[in-house]
Amino acid sequence: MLTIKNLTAGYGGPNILHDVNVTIREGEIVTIIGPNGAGKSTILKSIFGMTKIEHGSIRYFEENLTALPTSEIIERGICFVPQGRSVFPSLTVEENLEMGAFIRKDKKVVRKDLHEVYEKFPKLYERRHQLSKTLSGGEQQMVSLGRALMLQPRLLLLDEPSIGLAPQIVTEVFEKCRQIKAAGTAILMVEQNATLALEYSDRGYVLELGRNRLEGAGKDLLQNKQVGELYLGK
Amino acid sequence: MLEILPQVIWYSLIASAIYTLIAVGLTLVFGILEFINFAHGEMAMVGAYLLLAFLVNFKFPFWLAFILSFVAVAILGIVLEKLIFKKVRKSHPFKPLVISIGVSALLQAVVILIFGGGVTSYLQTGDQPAQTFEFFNGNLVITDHQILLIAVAFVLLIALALFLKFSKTGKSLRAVADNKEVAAIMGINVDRTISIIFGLGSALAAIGGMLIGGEQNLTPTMGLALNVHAFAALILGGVGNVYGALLGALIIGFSENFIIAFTPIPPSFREAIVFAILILMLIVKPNGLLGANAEAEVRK
Repeated sequence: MLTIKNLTAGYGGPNILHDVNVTIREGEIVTIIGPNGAGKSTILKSIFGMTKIEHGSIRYFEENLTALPTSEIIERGICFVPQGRSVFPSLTVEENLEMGAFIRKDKKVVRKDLHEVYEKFPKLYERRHQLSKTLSGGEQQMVSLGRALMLQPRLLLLDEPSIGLAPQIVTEVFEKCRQIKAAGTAILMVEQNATLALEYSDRGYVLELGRNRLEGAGKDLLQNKQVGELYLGK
Repeated sequence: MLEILPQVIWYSLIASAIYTLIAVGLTLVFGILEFINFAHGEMAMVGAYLLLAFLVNFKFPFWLAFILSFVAVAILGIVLEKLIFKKVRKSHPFKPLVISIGVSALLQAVVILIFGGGVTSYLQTGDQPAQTFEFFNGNLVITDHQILLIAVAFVLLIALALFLKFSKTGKSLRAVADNKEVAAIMGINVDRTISIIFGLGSALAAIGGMLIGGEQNLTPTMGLALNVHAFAALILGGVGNVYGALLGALIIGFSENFIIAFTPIPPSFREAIVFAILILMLIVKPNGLLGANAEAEVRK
């Protein structure tokens, strides 16, 4: 569904990505791993038009995404969960979720979206009137996920979903990803926690210094000796 | 001594209402762009002078002149942002701050060129004096204009609070203030949101200027004094917080009027009192009464 081809991009200074290729098919979880500064997040940001693209293409169902404004990218069914605490801290849980459906004009549809997200995340319903900053890190990450699901995207981009979370919460986040996938949404994520992420992934890419290094099925990469030594601490 | 109390309370309320109208714009801009706009008080001044021009020179009816004035100032605020402040949005907040001081001087100069540098007033010779009402055996005298002032300020602030809390645009303003980058990822148009903030803040300041213009004389430098009070109010209440601005404005408005009424300190020390409160606050509680704990924010 999404094909990144020979992407060379950066933030105005020297390029961070060099001829990167990534493909994601419908219903897949694909993870990009690699050391700090490899340009993993830059790939996700490029899809959302937040970088300067020197050359290469990002195609989504045969359509070029690179020229589209953010709202149009969202409209086509791609949602982005940025890194870290990305909730709006002074907004309530419900207001955060509503912002996920900002581009929707019809209020009734937004109510329906809200209802569906609450079904997937019952805990968020209990806390819907609480300010997001009063939530724990794990709960905030669930708000971010729920917010990205408001529009029932076909492709979800996750930037380091496990960062700063306690181990059992990390598992909870990845379990949610599995459920999201089962409901028909493909996921492209970038992760530091490579071992766990690959266990939950259909395929993975190893990125190094802004270039493709390796790619393969999640399980194969987990057993790959080179990957194990370099990134999985084996 | 006590018999003047109702009158002092009334004047304190009037001052607080005006400071709040000006401080909310200042605090909204700070909430999103993190700089103090020193040209913001000028929006009040320009609003007051425009009303004068429409009322006295063009002889428009009051309501038409009132609406035209605040709409024009809203547009002025949006244009200033697009033309000037937008260019330095990514710079250190010191840059827009200094530029805003320049913009303030420029607007004052333009008004002096058109209206002259002297003192002027809405009340022209031959106008009927304001209608007054007396309470507490004449110890509290209020004019019809003062009632209008309080009522307009009250209604506007309630409307603003409801708008920010419940409307989709209001929510998106708060989201942008929380995190511009994430807001953009949600498809919120950040440029448009900032324009709304400048338009809204400028219109409220203009209304504040027009209302105070009915109480005092107009001078081209009136915006500066108003901005100083509004600035003190929002430091006191906590920057970036609309309710903080209201609380701060009440404290500033009441304390300056009470100190001048009940202590030997002369009225010419008005600004000095405000700054004394401000300095005291910065020493005791630098984040303001309702402000977030900055250290905790940094550690997150």
